[in-house]
Amino acid sequence: MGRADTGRANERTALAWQRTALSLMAGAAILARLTFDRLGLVAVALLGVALLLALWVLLESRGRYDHDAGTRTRDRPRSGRAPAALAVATVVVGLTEAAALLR
Amino acid sequence: MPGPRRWPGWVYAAGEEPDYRFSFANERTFLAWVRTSLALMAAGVALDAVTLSISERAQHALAFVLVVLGVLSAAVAWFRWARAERAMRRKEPLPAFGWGAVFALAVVLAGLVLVAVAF
Repeated sequence: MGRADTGRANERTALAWQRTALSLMAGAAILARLTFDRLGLVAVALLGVALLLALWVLLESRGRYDHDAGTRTRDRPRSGRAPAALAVATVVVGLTEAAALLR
Repeated sequence: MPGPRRWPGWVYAAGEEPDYRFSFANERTFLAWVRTSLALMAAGVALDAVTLSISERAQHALAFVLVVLGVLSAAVAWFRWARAERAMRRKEPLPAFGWGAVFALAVVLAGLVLVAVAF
């Protein structure tokens, strides 16, 4: 698998990562605004963590697919870290919302 | 396969790298679940904001159910991604999709409740 393949699968996947990370960031920001009244700064802190995780994923996803396109700009291959970061961020957003609902 | 250790070990320690397009498809599936999870949470926020003809407690309960469903979906989605990646590396069948039945049932029930109370 040595030849460069800047095919559509790469582009689709990179775009999927970006739009998911952006949705997560938007959701965290909006929820911070909505839950501040009930939960205060704790909510803002938690959602800030979620937003930073999603931002990290957004930034690192740019190089992620060049690796498999064969242009090899990264020497660390894909792992479960970025998916885990998004999963954790989503869970944090959801649990914060759940806490706000219980108030 | 030498090289830097990839996380998690139980996915990457054995087997060989699948065609990257299958790994990408696996990732896109996971990402779709994350967006589904966010949509459920948004529905929970919406239920909290609007006023329906049911009691506020019932409304909060339904919103809570949707949010919890979203949280579980995101967590289950990561494990499903990991198990699928491992199965592809070992050329084993993909894991079963039991969560799909639970998820579909929960969404149908929530929808039926909403239909019942909104009309």
